[in-house]
Amino acid sequence: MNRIWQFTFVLVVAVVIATIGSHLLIDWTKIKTTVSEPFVFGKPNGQPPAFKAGSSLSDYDIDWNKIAEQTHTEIRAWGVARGSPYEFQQLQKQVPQARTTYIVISAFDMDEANVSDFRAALVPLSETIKSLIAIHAGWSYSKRAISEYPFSWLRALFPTIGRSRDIMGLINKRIHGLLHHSAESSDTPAGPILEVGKEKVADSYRLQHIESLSQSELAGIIASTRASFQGKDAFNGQKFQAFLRMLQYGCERGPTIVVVVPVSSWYSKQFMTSELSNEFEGAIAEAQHRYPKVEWLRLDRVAGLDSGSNFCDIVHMNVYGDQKTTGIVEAWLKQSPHQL
Amino acid sequence: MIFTSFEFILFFALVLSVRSCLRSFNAEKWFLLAASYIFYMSWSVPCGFLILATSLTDYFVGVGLGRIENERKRKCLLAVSIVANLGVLGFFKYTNFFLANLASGVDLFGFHVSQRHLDIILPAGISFFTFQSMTYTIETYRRNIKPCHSLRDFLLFVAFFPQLLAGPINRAANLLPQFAQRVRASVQQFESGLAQFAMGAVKKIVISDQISPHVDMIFAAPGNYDAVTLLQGVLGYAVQIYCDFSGYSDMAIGCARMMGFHFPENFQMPYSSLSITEFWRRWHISLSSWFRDYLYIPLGGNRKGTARTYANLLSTMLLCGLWHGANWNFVFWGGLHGASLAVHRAWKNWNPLAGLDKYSLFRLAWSLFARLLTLFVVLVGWIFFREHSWIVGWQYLGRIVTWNHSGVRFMSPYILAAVGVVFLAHVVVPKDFNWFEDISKRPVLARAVGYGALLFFIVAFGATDASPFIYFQF
Repeated sequence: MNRIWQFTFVLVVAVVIATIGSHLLIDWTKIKTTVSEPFVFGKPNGQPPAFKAGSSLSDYDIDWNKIAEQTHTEIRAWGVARGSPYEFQQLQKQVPQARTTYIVISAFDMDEANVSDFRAALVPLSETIKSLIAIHAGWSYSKRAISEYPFSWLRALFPTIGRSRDIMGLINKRIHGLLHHSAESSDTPAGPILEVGKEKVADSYRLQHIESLSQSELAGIIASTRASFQGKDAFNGQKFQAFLRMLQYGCERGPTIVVVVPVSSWYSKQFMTSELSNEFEGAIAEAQHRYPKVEWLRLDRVAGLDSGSNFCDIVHMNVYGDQKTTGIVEAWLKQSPHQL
Repeated sequence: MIFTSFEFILFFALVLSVRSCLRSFNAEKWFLLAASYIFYMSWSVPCGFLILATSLTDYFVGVGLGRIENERKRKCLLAVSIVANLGVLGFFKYTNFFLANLASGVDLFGFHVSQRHLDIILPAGISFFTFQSMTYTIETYRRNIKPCHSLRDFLLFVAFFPQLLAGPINRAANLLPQFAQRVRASVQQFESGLAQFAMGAVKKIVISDQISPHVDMIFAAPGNYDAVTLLQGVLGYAVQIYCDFSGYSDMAIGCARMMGFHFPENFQMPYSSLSITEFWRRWHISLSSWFRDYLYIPLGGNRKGTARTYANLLSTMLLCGLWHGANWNFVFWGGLHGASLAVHRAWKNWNPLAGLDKYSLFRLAWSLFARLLTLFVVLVGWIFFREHSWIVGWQYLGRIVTWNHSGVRFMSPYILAAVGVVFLAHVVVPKDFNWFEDISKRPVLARAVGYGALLFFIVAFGATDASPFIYFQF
């Protein structure tokens, strides 16, 4: 065989081997590679549905089935791991008939350094470029934002690309589980995969609290989270602009409620400097000023809610935290004169 | 634009494509020169003018050295080149270090001077391209090479993009002749270069970048961790810096080979060395041989008596430490290695156990002991290399030596796995085996599986948030 053909053949076979390996690994670790199908909380009752936007934190922290039941409204949502308003603005447009909009945010998922795996799959490249121009983004930030797209294209061949930390965390968990006949620990930055919208199961992960983790596990989670953040922490970039657009879209259709959920005090201590906290508060104040009709529920300001006993990892609440926050949301909805 | 980024892959693909289309050899060299400056200026545009200025100085010094026969004048010309190169390096790298130490020194005599800090941006790769450029003027002065009369070729020699930011430091005698005639990579060379590039990427993004968050966390607050964790941290750093730097070198060498150029190897299984002397023949080979040829030997090397040899070893390594960074911890690191080299030399001259070499059991035990001792010295050195405060470095070492149980025990599965893989490779793979040249001669199936495995590791375990290479800061 001619040397060039031989080399081409070798390369093609190598790509095929890596592709098969990549798909098998995804299959074994069961990492989600697509955005979940839209899910409905509550039952359709002939009324316009509500739309809920929020990352896994919103599903860990609040029982939306109860909220749907109390408000007698069908709530539509999507599961987007590490999702933020930048991704959910696309999904909001898929429920144009929604009257009420719930947007759940936190200091974790509003941080521009925290980028969802599914950003390029949901937001068209042209829109990202427009948004980068609008915020006068610098080269390094733009480069990072745009480089998500080649990754998403390459994922057709290699679905594992860009997901190494989650994969390694899950392999570690599997091996740990095999060795100890249980799988109680995880150090993936986003925690375990939650089947969004399905009946919540109080599994061992959701029952644990931070204090029950060993210091080694906690150190691993913090290191992995820090590594998964890319670039400088900020609250005034693309996500914030998308958040404002979502508020406007929501206000044009009906009541819009923003629920600010807390992160654990461990997260705040490690990641939220006073400067960043001020920036986060500044962003919220600007949004409140621009859209005064929006109603705000600041769960992050409820004393004691950020305690480690309410969290199963540094950002997700456990079943105990979930019960508390859901109770607070239910009480708030009862007391306030909302027209949901 | 780092080697593991999309921009570089696109840039390199473009360079390869355009170069293959150019019919004129001159056009090809102009194109490579332009590409190299674009590559460098993607970091900083003004720094591009700096590299141009230092290259022009050395070019004209070289031309002068070729024309002038008077030894005194030749010496003066060489001095111009050395002062210009080291002056630029000294200004950008050591000004603040000098000012801080001057203020502290004056303070000792009772005069208070407020410390001044100038906002000087260190140009990327300055330590590498100044040293590379100096090899040309020194060798021309020594009449080992002829002066280069093509300004374009000389500018390309200094700025050639694969080696510009972190080496390997090419000698003028090696690289300049490669620009004299047109070179093209054969398919076999291209394949071997691609394999070396892929292996470098695995070292960098699969090993170094994945363990760096955990290593950084341990080194950020060593007082919080117990001795086991700290030991794991220093072993992790040894693996991180090796995979980071040798990975970069592999990618640079691989890129050059894909274009048909030959760069010298920079790492050869350094952690399997039997002595610290051997370690420096296997670690950052292009730098250690530079210091040997242009500092240690001119200082007298081992030709002026035992005491002078030890002094030469120590002073060479102190300067090697200072080359790495303007901080006393680097000087200490260099001093530790210099002292270890001197001790090893003294041992070789004295060695009361030489007679036992005939026993195979002794040879085996000695080889194991020698490897562990060498590794111990290297690991102690890495603590001071990594910690920017040497007080913290001592605390770090102290907590390991006293086997401190207080503090958190953090067991990172990634560090443990990486340490296991890298050290196992150092034990299993023959020290001088160059598999990049060997693999392209293997059967088709073996190559396909080998490259498939490399690609799989990159796409499955590669960190996409690639951090810059550690040696860029030097």
